[in-house]
Amino acid sequence: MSSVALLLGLLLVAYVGGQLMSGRSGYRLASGAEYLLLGVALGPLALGAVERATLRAWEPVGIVGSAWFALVIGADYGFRDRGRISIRGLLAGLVLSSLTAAAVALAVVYVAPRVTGLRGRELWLVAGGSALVACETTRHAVRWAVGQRGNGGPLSRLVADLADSDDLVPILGVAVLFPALDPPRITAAHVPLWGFALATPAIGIVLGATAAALLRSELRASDGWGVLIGAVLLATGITWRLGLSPQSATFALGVSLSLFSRHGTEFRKMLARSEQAVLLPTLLLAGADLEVHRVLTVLAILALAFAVRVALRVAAGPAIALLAGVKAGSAPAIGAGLLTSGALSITIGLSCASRFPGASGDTILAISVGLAILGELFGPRALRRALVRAGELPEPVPAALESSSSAAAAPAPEALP
Amino acid sequence: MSHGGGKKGLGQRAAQLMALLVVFAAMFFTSRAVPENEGASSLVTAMGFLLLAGMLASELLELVGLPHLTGYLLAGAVAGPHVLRLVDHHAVARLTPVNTLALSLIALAGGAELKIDLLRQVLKSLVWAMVIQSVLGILVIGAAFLAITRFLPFTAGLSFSALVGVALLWGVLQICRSPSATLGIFSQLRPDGPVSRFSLAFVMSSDVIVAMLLTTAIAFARPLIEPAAGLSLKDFSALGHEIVGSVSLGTTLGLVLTAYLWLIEGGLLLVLIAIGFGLTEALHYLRFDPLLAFMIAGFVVANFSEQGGKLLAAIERAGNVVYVVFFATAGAHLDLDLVRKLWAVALYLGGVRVASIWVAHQIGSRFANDVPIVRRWGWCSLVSEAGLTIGMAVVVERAFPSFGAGFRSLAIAGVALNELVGPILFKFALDRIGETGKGTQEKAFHEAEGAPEPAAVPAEPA
Repeated sequence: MSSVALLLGLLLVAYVGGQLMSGRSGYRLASGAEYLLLGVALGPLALGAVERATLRAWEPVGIVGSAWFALVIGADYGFRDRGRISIRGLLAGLVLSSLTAAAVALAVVYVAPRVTGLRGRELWLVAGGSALVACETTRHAVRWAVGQRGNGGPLSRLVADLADSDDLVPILGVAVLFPALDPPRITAAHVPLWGFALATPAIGIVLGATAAALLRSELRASDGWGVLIGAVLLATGITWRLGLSPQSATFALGVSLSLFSRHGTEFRKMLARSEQAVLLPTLLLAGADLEVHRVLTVLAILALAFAVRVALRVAAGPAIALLAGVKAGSAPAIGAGLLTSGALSITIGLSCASRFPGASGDTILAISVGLAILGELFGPRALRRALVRAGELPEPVPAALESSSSAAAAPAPEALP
Repeated sequence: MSHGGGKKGLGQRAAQLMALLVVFAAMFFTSRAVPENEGASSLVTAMGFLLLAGMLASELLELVGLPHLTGYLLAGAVAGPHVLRLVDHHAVARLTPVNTLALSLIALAGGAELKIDLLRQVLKSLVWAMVIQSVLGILVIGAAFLAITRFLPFTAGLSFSALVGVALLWGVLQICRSPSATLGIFSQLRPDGPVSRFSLAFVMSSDVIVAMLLTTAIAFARPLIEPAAGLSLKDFSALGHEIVGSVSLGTTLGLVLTAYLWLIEGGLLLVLIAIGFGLTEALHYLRFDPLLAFMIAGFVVANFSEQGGKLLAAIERAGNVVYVVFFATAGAHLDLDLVRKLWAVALYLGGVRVASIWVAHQIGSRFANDVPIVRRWGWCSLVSEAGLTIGMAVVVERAFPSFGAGFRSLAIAGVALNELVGPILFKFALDRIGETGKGTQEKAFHEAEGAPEPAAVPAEPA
């Protein structure tokens, strides 16, 4: 497939994402795994409709798409609907995400050398990357699970807050991981690791504050998009060129823009509308870019990361039930409901694969894809079950009953004109 | 490109200056910290930088009455490979796809701006101006070129008849205008009145005329330059194929776009991007002229349906970002070393060109019996030249490799001067005669995006 054909395909996906699916969670999976799978099917791993060389040429689209998605998360961080997220939701998300990341990293560092033969820097990279792609709960999961029928009870709100707030951990983690494992080779100065780790969000904060200052007065559509796109591209380009994490920088850019701009609400709305159109082609590219060098290594680390994730989330279920004030009986379902990872994990996996070309980077991307698919199998259904038990979703109507009731409600064929 | 609507206070200007310094400092540090970078990261950095720096420079230059377009060009030129080297040759070359998209949007917008009513209004002026500008321009500028050929290294050793042939080509090249610069100024100033209507109609339709004249000139110049070659009509056949094909495809595209806008409308931005990239590629493959095809498409949508407004609004939303990068990249492309070497010749030829445009306009206006305001100021929009001229110089270079490279360099030096002077002159004229701001205004964010009114947001004090 030529570059232009791939571009047209990506634009088509963006169009479909932007036009047909926005706001209708029932039409897609919580993790966006269908686009991943489409990418995998078209990519060199399956049908080979897109060659690796073409994918490499479109690498900037994946990087910028990931960075844009992080910007959307950053601009919306701490907000839900028209209000702010709760402190307990924020803390629960941060604690659960940090614990999961730490546990997965430790498990991989301990187990992987014995099972897979990973050693040294490669081991740290795979451990760190796996930890970061395994620690979040996708923010789309709750929207998907609640759908149109939820009544927005305490459990829905807490889980939504948790899923929103836990994004901070992988995004900050990747700001440390990149310079720690491959310090940028810049001329003329020696910068310590903490300097790079701080510089990454600092670039985003400075550019976000600059953009906010530029758009102080009346906000025109052209100004808004021009400044936003310019700032995001510059932040992405600078960090990418220096070997730092573009996603961390644009997340910070979004946060600072949201905080410093008097048009924060409008920016959040603008960005929310762009999310699907940017995200779906990025997921498609991530799927197509998937490359499994060592099948056993990937499977072993995937199983390990998923097991740790299940254990921690199920263990956290009672605490979340307690915080939400719902019956303890729904705790296991709540824990399992938090298994869905999604777009953020996959874009972090994609960034790692791009930043560390080769087997290790590709392994992280493969694990992020694997976790998204496994999470999709269990998470959304469990979360719906938990919400039903908590009385925040109506009991599902059995299919047979539903069809008979709709048949009863429908006019008899002979009555139709 | 119409950013910065309304008066801005001192605080806002200070913020813009600070922001420009921050952006330049960030880029300076990055380009010095990681000097050698041919990867895609330099492309992304360059795009973001050119977009922000171009917007900010244009806002600041607005204070001294310069058009935004000049700000974009200057930002690109200063940051480009010939001055600060913040954006290197490699990144500039890789920004070509953005230019492709920008040109397709410019052509679509240009066609959509050309209303049949407008053409009817200015038809007499248009025909006279086109004829006189073309004939007089080719003769005067060609003669001026012929007079200095002994000082040009690339014409050394050519016979007199060959020099006449080269002068003919130069004359045709110099009657090229710049649709992009004209639309850039329109996008910023939103003018309306006799001068702006005449300018729009003339510049947009001159593209087709110049393409035909260049083909004719090449056919006639060939036997003069290469005596062994005879007069060949093969080029005309190719030109006919190109024009008929482009018009047919452009009409089809226009109808498809009309149907889309009528039936679906949403997601037009993505559709325009897909058309800009995908269709341009297909048109190149078919050897059709993308500019002409897109212009015809825009013309069809605007004149044979009620969807022209929607199309223009969508192009404007995309264009405001794409145009900045396009012109800033053009600025980075400006070969200032070459201008330094050829400035005297370029200045002389540029001066003759401007004089010829003025004289031809006076004569044409008299014949067409134009209103005094058009007679006096109409020529100001005809000075800009840009990518189209360079594109045609490349065509000449391919047709005549023996002197083509030097010919193209001189053309680029001339474009550098006219590209900077032309928009300033046009804006000056529109401001002076009061046509600025008489057209429709860009909608504010809440109108354009369907967001709620920002009632709680206090306006910046002027």
